[in-house]
Amino acid sequence: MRSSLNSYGYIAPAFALLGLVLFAPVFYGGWFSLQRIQYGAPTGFAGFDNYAKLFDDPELLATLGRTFVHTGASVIVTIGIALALSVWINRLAPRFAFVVQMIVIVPWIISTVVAALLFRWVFLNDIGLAAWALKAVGVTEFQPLTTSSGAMALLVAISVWKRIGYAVIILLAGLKGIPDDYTEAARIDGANGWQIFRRITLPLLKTPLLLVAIVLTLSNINTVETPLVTTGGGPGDATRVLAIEVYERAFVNFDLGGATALALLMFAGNIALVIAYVRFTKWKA
Amino acid sequence: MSTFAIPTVAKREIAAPGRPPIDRFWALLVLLPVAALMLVNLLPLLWGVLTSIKPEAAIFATPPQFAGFTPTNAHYERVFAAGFVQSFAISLAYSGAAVVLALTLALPAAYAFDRFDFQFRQSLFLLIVASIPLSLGAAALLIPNYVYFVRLGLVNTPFALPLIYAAHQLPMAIWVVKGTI
Repeated sequence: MRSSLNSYGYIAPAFALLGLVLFAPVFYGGWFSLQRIQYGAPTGFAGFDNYAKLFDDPELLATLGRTFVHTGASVIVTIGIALALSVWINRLAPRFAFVVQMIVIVPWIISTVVAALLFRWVFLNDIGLAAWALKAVGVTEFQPLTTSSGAMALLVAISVWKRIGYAVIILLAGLKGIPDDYTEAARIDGANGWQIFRRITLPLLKTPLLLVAIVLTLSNINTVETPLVTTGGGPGDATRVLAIEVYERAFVNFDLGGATALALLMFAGNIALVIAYVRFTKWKA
Repeated sequence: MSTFAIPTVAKREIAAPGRPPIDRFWALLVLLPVAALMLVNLLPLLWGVLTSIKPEAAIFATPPQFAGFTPTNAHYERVFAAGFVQSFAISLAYSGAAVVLALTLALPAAYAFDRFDFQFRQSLFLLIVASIPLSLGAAALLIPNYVYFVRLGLVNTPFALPLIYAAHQLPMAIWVVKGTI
């Protein structure tokens, strides 16, 4: 290890870019949210008016609730399925496992907008494949995008579908890190498959599981594209989640002050999740 | 090592016939939902491909048509006529610029974090690690980013997107490069 003032020259360019794009906007946004905004331009100090207006909005609590439902359901379902999938893939013959991984990762690597559109296309009311397939088995009324719970369920389904590949890859890496000796020893001691999973695999998978849960929560809270493309927040306000709310405040209602204030509150929530993430990551400088 | 040969043989004997029948039941129990998931994962994609070569009438036909229509390349022709190649070239140029910029900044930074000792090294690297999940498509940063770039006059310039792309990839790039050098 060399100690040198020059080191700062090595890292300065990287921090300059991060400062410009990631850090400075937060501080500028903080100042901006305290201004009176007219036609997108700050016109004077307004104190916490923008924030006060947010809390006066009776709809905001419901939006928060919907965000909670969407994110919570998506994360739980994603992790449940991804866990089963990765345990299964981990036991497959290598060549077959490779093919299955490829299939699982497909929705994660295609663009969010395209993925959401394709999914929507299949589940669209009249001409979609899903409605037709269900009609074949006797369900005639399948219009998920026209009922509030149906639209939310569909949004959760797309979120799960989109992110499951990521969860599987991380969990699979965690599973591969568990030495075979442990499960082998347990098997020799007479443990059955479920006992091995419950007592050995799951505890050793705790860290990857937590990391996946945090990243999934972050990315579900912060996704604008998925709800925007599939449901647009509707029908009514049924799938109007926080990210949509911020986006529409800014670019549909042109309430940049309110949008910035709400975005910064959201950012504070993100920071809490990031702190949790950093605590569970095995990082060393 | 030869003294350990006996346990090895014993292990093989346990492993081969020792797979209890419950495993096959489990495999099937897992296999079925997985097969369903495979279908769900690939179906929208295949359906999209199929739709793209259908004539208009076949797209809106009920029941949905899987075959028996005359494939058409009209949709692709329209996309290419609307300037697909140019849009794709721009996308490619932007991602190329972002990758080059991110790597140019990440390599020296990762090198310094790995090989040099300096004040605040720990805390600065912690900031990098914390930026990884933060830059993962944060809608919360979207609006502050927008108002800030408006202020800087960077909106609607060719620099805006590569700068944002590169900055969002940079923390991960530093982390990965540092881990491998």
